[in-house]
Amino acid sequence: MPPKVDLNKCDGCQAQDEPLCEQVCPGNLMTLGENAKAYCRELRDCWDCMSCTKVCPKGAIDTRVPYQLGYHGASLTPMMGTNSVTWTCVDLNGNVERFRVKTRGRYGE
Amino acid sequence: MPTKPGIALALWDQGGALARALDLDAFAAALAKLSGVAGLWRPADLEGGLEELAQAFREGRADRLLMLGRATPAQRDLIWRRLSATGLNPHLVHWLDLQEESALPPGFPSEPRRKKALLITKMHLADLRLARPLMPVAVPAEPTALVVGGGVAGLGAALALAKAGVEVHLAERTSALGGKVALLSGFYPLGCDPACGLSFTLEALRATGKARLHTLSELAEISGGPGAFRAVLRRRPGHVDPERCDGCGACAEACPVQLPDLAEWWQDEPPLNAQAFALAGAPAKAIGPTGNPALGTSYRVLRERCPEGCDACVAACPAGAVRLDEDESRLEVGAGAVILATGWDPYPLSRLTEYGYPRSRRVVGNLEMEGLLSERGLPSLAGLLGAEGKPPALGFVQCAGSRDLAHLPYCSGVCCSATLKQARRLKQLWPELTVYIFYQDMRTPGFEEDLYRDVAAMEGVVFVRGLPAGVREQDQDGRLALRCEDAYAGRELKLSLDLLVLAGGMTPSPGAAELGGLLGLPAGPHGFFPAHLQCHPEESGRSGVFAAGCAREPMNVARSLESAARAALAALPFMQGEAWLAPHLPQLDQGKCDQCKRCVEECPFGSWSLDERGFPRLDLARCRQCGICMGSCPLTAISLPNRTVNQTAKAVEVLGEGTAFAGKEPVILAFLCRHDALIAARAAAAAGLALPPGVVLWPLNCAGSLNNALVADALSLGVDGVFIGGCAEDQCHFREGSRLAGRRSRDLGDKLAQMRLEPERVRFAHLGIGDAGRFAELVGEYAAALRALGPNPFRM
Amino acid sequence: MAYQPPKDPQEIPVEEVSCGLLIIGGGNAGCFAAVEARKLSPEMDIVIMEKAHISRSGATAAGMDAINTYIPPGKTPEDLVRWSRSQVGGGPIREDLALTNAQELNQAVDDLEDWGLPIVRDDEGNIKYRGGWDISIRGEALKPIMAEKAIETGARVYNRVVATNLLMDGEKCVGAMGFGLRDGKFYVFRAKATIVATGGACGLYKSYTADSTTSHHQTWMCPFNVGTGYAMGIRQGAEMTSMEQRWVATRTKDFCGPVDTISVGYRSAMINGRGEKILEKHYAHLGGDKAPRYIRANAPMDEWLAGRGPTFVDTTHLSDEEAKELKIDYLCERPSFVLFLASRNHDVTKEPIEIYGSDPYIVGGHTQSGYWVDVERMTTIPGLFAAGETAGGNPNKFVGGCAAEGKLATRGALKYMQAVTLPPLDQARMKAQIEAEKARVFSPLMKGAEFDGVSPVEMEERMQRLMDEYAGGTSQFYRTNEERLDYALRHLAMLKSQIGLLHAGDLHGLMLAHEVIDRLDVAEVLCHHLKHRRETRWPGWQTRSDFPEADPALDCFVETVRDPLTGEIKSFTRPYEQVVPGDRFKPTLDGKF
Repeated sequence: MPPKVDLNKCDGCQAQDEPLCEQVCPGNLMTLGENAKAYCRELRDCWDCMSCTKVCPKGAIDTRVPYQLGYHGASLTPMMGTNSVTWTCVDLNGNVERFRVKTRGRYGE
Repeated sequence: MPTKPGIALALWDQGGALARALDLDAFAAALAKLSGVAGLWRPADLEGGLEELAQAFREGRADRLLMLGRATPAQRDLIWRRLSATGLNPHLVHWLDLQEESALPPGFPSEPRRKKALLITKMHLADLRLARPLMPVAVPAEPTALVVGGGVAGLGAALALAKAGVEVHLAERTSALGGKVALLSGFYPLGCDPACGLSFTLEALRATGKARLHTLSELAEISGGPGAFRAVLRRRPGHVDPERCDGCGACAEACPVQLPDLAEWWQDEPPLNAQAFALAGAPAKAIGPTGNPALGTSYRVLRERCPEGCDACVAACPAGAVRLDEDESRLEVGAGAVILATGWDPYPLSRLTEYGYPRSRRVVGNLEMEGLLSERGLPSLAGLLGAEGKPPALGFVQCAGSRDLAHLPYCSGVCCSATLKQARRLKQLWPELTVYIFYQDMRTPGFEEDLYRDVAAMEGVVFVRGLPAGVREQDQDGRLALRCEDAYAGRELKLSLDLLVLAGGMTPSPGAAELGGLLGLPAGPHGFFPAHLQCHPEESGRSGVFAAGCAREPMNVARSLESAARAALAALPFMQGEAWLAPHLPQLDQGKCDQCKRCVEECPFGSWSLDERGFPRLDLARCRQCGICMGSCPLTAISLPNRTVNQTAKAVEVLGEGTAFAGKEPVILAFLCRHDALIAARAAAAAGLALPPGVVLWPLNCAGSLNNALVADALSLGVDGVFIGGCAEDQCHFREGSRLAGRRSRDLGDKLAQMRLEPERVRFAHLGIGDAGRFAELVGEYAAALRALGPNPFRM
Repeated sequence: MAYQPPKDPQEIPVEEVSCGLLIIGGGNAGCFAAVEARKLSPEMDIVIMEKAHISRSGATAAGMDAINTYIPPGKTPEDLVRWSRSQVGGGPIREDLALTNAQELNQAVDDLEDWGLPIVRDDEGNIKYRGGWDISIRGEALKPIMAEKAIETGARVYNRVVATNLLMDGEKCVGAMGFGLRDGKFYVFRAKATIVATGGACGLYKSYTADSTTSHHQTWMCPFNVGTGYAMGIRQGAEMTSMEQRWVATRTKDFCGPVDTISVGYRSAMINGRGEKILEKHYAHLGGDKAPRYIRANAPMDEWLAGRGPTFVDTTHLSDEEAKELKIDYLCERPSFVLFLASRNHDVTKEPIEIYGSDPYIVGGHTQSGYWVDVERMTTIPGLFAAGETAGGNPNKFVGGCAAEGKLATRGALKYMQAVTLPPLDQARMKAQIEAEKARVFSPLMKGAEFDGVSPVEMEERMQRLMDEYAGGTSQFYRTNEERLDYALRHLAMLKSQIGLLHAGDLHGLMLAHEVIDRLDVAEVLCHHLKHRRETRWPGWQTRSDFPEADPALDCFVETVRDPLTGEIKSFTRPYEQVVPGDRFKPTLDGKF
């Protein structure tokens, strides 16, 4: 599941040594390119955990399904809250499905 | 079993606004049943009426207070005085004026209005429930000051601080104290010699016993923060031990070197046209006195001019004070605060090629003119004027290199008065002298207008509106010829002058820029140190570092001294042994932190740095407790006590669960900076301006302290729109907060589009403290836009 | 600022770190090990070596939607052991490990809830069980929650430090060595006790979707866990157990995502191309839908082989509400599966979800492959403890059990270290060991630009093809036989002989090189295990086409030890010991499923 970085939105985390996506990737795949923006050094090695997509403060990273597995045009976008994450999923027909999922805290609290 | 202390709710409907808007008894009953509420009190007055409430705190039934109703600041003081003795912590007291919070929108039917009032109260309760008792934090405040710059501002600040009991280290870059003022010939209006005032100051400073004055010294390194700076001063070798030298001059007599150019002797001083001084005075040697004699000169050696192997001065000195092998030395000092009084330098007049400076000895700058007018310089000046029987005449060129985009774009504000002062002195010395003043505008504010009138009335003083051109030395007598268009007379003048004085402007001292870099100061206008003129003129942009005098902007001596006093006073709290800080210092959860360094990058005050393990570490005294770091952290790892992300998240959750109150009206959560936007919003609500009934206000310390995760929470819970109000970008109390908030809301807008939510559901606006009407307008427009968009798809 | 590889081992900066407890791997077991160590020993100097960043590293990077074992009220740890035993076809399993783990299990899960992990409860506050033992959680933040707790202990966490070998003092383990993925340093960690918790081994076999340019890592298991923990022990002569019991599971086809969520949690039966309920039809005697896990894994593949494919889990009975809940579960653990469905316009209430077998993995938290450990969780190398997927003998641990084992390993480690003094690193044989390892580790980087060698990905692909075709991979429906295993071993030996040809241009490449090297060591041991078990005890996990029936003589554990000097691998057995009474093949005392 290769991550795609929108170069217009990515600011390389303002040229700090390691952008957030590089900090977090469990496979050491995200890194800063020569243009001081993030990119995935080996698309085929991505495990699609979406940690980079979740953490990017500019929302510049989009997770894709490889075309060998699924068709083009669907999207899944996470938005991190303080103790929840909100997902928007859009299928090939443009149907939108939304999910709000608790991530921290006891049920009932 | 002892239960946890709850929240005391007090309802004090002064003015009856609540009773008019709600069934107050039913409302009170509903409030009393809320979870975590220890009880509801309705004090009849602020005297005895608070006694029962106080009892609840004394008995530990409640440990925090939410006061509902309108209370003026004086009344809040009174209430606090009545309750503080019970042990109630001041940070556990919240005030909630429901009308001001727009909780009681007038056109709203009574049931939704009741729901809204209850909802907003519950939000504040949720926030207060998670608050903690806070105490001010003490940090060490070393009772030592570091003053950089030994001119009039530096000495003035040092004296003020020394008198206040603070030890002062003063570092002066050149070999002499007194700065530019020591080069002046006389003050206006009294005409007194500045050396008098300076020597008086120096004597007083020495008398305090608290000042250590270091010449030939610069700030080389600095670390630490307010209350605990550690600085390293680097001292260039002067090669003469000031503690042994008695100024007898035997060394200079013995020195075989004669400096051809006086300017070399003044190597640390402004580039002067030395030729003007060549007519008088003994030639300078490689060893000799520096500085104004009235201030106590010190001897030094220009080591690079010494011939190989020569030590004539060493042999000649009866006190053995000459140290030719002296090296650079370093001194480490600790300081609670730093005052930058680095002064100014004249604009390099050699860049004004049209005037022949410094080719001709007959063209000088206004600072050199001061030198020529002083006792030491008068013989040289006399020599320049009235050559070969022609009537003596000189000219002043005002705005030389000032108010000019190619040179200094600004006005230094001092040169016109300086010229008039010099002109008056010249006329006193040479009544027959004709003085031309070439000007664009004469700027003499305040009482300086008197000086202008006096000089203008003098015989032989001619004001010409127009700047000269074609300045050249005449072959025959060496005098200057020039032309000038007199705009008022409407004709061209052709003149021969003995001397032309270029009244140039003031620039920051060389080295000020590096110093700023060393201290991490933001750049100010035109290379000077920045400040908010009205609110914080002494600030530099870094806590604990203050700027005084011409380091801040061009100013005259009087203002410099006032500025120095202001800086000294502002610095004092950092040097009292202990400084007390408000308790909202940000706390970092290292467990959550992944060291992305955003907080370090985005803090406008440089309060965060990295520790040995790469985790952010806070300089407590530097921190302004704005919360911008809390807003910047993508992992919400930073929170400010009693303004935490969790507290706000809980309040947002309460709102999210209660969005039904608004019926078909859009629910707008307005996060507002409490310095300006919130005041405007509350004023709008209090004045009864029409506000959309679905708007809910929430305070922020700074718009920059709002974390996008909270906005995400609000939207995902079904809030229709989030409105963020911050100060105008260049007026943010914390410099960058408003700009960052604007940027973050734009980033979030992009994310919302990806989420198939409309980016318009987040809106950022700038609001000033008086913008009540504008707030009503903006939020009304926003509600209309949201109505058109329809409810948030997350409303379930 | 491109990375400049060193030209000489002398150039490489060395960082030496000494501590009390070294934890290799900051994952589920590793974080719990750290928290337990701090709880029991306020002064303990704890170091965690983590090859990624602890906040999102390893198998729980995207989250978790369930904790598969949590003992419900009314059941006992013994009941759990019985069930676990039956799930692996009656075992043999290490019942001592299973029982001690089950006794710690619930507390570990309760800890997670205390730390803020949402466990799904109903309105009365009761936990909702989705199967007999598994509970639903909203675990998107499971990893950060555990990482925060580990960091709170004050442990020194070395992120982006790749472990490469154990540090040995004769026969004892006294720490580990590795390299910095960012700083290019060589690290030597010296510790009184070491816990290896590096997860399992993925990528030994070719994943059937791994032929494409953008989805090489289309695996259920975390592809960044390559079995380094096992390899380090193997190289020093540690005894491995049950490696032949590979974890092969039914997974969503092509995507290779979790399926138990659906089949167990949403009562979606496995069906074949004809719509027949496979488990009910063919495996009722083994419990049907509750049959042992390897049956559930193998069954769909048998359907394919028999020409009755494709196979599915039948979700068409789900309501819209349940379908949404299902997606929420996936969003908490493998969110891109939801994207996968969307990118096929797949409405699960109208079409069933296709399933297939996964590539085989070695994971001691699911099956029981891994280090042979005693009840203190110490491996056969003194001073080295194992926990989580890295420790063998006890299957069906999952999140809760790995967490519990982290605690148990720490207790063992703390007891052990009381009698330990550490050798100084400048002692001759320590120095020699360190220099040798430094040279070995950095060798792929120091070949020079002109070097004509082999890239890590080439060697990885060669190995994965080899294992898939000859050691029972997916393309072979998991079947292998003696001749193929010998073939595999011959070629693995050739690959190992060419390790010296591996070259890398930067530190990331260096990591990839070592991942291949480690996998080769694990694959070799795995083949020996598969060879030794000349029977088919757990079809799918371990299928010998030349010995298709179970052999009672092999009702025991298969073990291997590799000689650290010669590299020779010896395989042998250890007897099974029943500790918890009851019919081994039945999940409960009364025999009911």
